[in-house]
Amino acid sequence: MSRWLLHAALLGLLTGCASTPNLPPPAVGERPSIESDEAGLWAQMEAFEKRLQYAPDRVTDPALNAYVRDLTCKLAGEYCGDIRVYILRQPYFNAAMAPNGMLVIWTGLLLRAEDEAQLAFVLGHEIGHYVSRHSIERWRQMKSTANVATAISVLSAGAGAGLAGALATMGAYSSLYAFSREQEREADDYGLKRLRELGYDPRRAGQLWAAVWDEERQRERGLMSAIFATHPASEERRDRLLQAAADGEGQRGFENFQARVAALRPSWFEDELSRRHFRQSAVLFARLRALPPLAGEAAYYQGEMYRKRAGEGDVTRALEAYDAALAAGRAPPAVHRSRGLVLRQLGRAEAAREAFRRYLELAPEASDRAMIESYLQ
Amino acid sequence: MNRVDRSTRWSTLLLMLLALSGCASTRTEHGAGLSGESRLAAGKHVLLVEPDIELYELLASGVTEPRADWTQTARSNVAVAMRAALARRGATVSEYEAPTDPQQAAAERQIILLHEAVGGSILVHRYLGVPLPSKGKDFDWTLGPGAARLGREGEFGLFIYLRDSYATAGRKAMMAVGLLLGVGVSLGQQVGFASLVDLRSGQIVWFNVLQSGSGDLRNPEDASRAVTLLLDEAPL
Amino acid sequence: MKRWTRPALLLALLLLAGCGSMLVQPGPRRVDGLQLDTPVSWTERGSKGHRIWTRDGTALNALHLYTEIKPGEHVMRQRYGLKKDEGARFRAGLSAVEAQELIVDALRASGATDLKSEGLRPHLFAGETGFRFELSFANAQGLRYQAMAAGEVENGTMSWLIFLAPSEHYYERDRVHVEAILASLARR
Repeated sequence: MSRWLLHAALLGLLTGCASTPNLPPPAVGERPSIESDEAGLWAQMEAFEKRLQYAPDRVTDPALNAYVRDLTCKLAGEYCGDIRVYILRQPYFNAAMAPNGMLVIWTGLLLRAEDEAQLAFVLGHEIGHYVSRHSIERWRQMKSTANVATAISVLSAGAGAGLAGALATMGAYSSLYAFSREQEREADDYGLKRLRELGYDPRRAGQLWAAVWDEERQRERGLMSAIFATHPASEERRDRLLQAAADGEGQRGFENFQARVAALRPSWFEDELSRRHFRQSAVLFARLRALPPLAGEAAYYQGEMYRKRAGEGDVTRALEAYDAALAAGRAPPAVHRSRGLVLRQLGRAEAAREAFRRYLELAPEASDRAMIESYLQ
Repeated sequence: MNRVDRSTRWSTLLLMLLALSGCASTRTEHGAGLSGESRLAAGKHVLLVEPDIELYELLASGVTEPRADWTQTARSNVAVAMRAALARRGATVSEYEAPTDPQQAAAERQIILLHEAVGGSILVHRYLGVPLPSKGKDFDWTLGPGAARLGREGEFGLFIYLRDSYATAGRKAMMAVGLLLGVGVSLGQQVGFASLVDLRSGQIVWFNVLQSGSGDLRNPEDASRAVTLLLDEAPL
Repeated sequence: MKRWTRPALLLALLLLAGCGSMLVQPGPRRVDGLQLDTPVSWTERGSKGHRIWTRDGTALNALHLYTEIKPGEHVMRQRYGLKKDEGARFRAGLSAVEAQELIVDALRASGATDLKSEGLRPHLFAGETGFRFELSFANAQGLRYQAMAAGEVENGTMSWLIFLAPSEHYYERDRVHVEAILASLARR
């Protein structure tokens, strides 16, 4: 709900906002002087970053962190030492860069990116915000306008709306993460530039946004989107990115990326399912199912989505998806438990029991063994 | 349950407190068995746990802007005043440092987070008056025996929270205009609380909330006054 | 367990002050079509269909009792900020495995992070064949909580309870009292 307040407030602010002259890029290792307004922001961000060290949803897996950190470093060039990356386990497509060099990326984004080029684009885009000092630009623009008091009070109302809202708002300074159209374009251009310079295929950027837009379109009004307001998905943005890279070519880094996220991705699928926003999940899972190494896993989760949605015909769809997952050989043992539950609903009691038995065979340490055993009686 | 800057959550509760109770005052709660008269024996060791202090500038537009320079000055003024006030009471002071072992640090952090939850309950049920009929009249709140983890050096943990904002000239001008028109414009609030925890048992032996509209923490004398007010009747 | 915006929190606190907090004495008690026995006293808030019991404030201990949730209703009776088909809603013919999923999803949606649930097993609930499981999670600040949930999905509706408290000191202190309450539950 807070995302809508945020959106509404910002739409009021963004159109017709006087632009200030571009700030020079930061010097490497630069810190703002203590009387400046930037210093106040830094202090807030540093306090937030300190808490982030203990955040319960922080992903601490060393291998994944090393991978994302190294990629960020490559993209950041001379600013490598000024930027610190954090991965948070949240099922939303979002990344944010604070003016003090803190870069936060959410697992919902890692689930939705298909290859290293797409991840690199997002990271490069965030670094673009840092290099162009967009946060402080926005803050200065906002401070002097008459609308700002209303905006801040509306936006800080969003600060109480749960973890997702709170992170995007980072206290009362949420508007800093909702950049103007012009600033988003600048950051996009920077992202594309870095992709080209490092030999990645720049067309992947527009293709990521096309996929994100497809998902975004499925959102029912009022439902919280998986795509955050800080990275508004729009046809315009997708088209612009596709056009800007039309003649491009380069590496995708597909195998490498898939290998790096394989271990944690099942948990991200689970988180997406937990949201119970089936329309968006359906589009996402269908897209991921089309990627060969993910086909089996995505089919299983698509089945789970049908089972949970429990709409007309969903039980049959679920069974088909589970069978596809089994055929691809990449389904977790829990697929048999799910088959059992669905077969039970269809009244196929013996087939259900067989499926439950298979589940317990494959997962002898299952935490819900006692319940499943009761289904066998 | 949300990750709002915990300061935003406290501010909300404390501003409510202000709205409900009117003018400047301190209210003190004492743990069971402790009155304002009694004093714990001199020579007690106090562990200062993560003083949470922030200063803001209140702009004419109503926006509060964080001021890193003011915050730093206030933190150092308050730290100096705190050490002096505690020394006058015969206590020795040290500041909490998380241990290097990450598991130990996480376990100690849980106690600090639990204090925030317990402090929140105290504010809601003792100060804001939301009834809790099943809980007795005595002030009886605890962090549990796990608090002893922090107590390897200090015998009492002192937790402090302070927020203050100061108006700019533009805001003061608005205030003057507002008064003429009969509209109240706030100049900024000073809110704070402190609690003292017996780290051996986890029992909160003393809790105090400060509300005041005056005093400039950027100024050492005022900081000293604020600290005195805050430690008002502390059993130290 | 709702997500409060600042204005909503202020309003809620104002409304709560002096309003609807009842003392629950130790001993037998009737609650919403159920009979139970509590070894300790509690403060009760809420209304028919959702009662909230606490001893030190809901951030420190909270026992939620939900009764007769009908098909289509949210498993935690959340009414605001949800569209008709959205969220963790009860459905007729639900299995215990799926009831656990609903509860887990609802808790995640209300802000619980790093949530793990385990030990799903059959358990008597008010004389019906029901379920029980345990959970652990952290709130947004990182304070770790433990919880136990039990309920039943027979007869076309869902009734269930959950007890949540910080892992540090508070959960263990009252867990045994909640076990006693759960064991004493019966239909009137």
